[in-house]
Amino acid sequence: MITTVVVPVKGGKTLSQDIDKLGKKLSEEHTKLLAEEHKKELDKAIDATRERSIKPVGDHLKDQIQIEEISEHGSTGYGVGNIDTLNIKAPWWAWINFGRAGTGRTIPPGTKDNPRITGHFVPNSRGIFTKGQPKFPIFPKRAIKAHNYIEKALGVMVSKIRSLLK
Amino acid sequence: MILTWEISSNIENSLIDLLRLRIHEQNLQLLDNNGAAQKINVYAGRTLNENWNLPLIQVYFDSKPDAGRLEVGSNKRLRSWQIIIDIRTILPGQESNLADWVENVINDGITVYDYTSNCANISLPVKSILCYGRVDFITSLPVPPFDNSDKFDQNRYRITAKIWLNG
Repeated sequence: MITTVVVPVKGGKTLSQDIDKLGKKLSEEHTKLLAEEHKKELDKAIDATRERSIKPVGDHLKDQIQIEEISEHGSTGYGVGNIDTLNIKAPWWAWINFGRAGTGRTIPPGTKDNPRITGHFVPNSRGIFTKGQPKFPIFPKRAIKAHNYIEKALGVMVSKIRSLLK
Repeated sequence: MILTWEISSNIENSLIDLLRLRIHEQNLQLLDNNGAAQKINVYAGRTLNENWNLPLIQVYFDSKPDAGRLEVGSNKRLRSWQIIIDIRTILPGQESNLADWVENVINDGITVYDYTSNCANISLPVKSILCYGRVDFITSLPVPPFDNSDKFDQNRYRITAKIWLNG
């Protein structure tokens, strides 16, 4: 015999069972790694296309896009950005990405649509229109453009996958 | 010096030129609510213009996701240009069919032209072949329907493609 390979069998498991277990663990780790990187790229794309300063109070889109563990038929995977959560906590996600609100709007509502929509910009320059004193009317005219942050992040991820899984 | 069209605008316009040419060659049309054939329009620009006519293909350059060096020590870069193609149609189902057609047209790549302004006819710039662009599809799926959406968003499909330049 020139070479002999001896495989110790632990706990009564066969070699193929051990390989299966290792392979599954590796796949799960890879999936988690990709999910974490995807979250980073989504955050970057949101920040890179931001037109106004981050609002001082309330829910932010970035915070609502989280990595979630998904378990199905004994396997564990990871998802990024739960649509149900986004629809509740940051329903403007689609508006920012596709340039169209869930209500069908492209131009944000103003005082003309609802007299209760009054407030001021925080901060003054490139700020977010915020409720409270002083109360000024607002008459938005410009439609929100599609920021395509989902596509931007995917575009980067497609190229990154190979290097991440090395 | 007045900066004229650079590579991003050249790619965007080359793609628009190709789609318009194929639509013209094939006399490609889609039916409207009354069963009348409607010409398919191709427009450039990220912002939707209310004066645009359906059915339409909206094309615009979005980002440059790749900028890695081609090799160590070289300033040549392996760059891609990401393009968004939004397809908006009159009747449901047409958007997916038109998306299939668009994907077929650009699947084998596109010829990228270098455009320069033409004082004699401003709407017809002079063009010369610059290189060939390889196409990778990143996303291809219908845009979720929106409540009370207007005619432009009732039947919408989005293709995201990366264009890689050879040479």
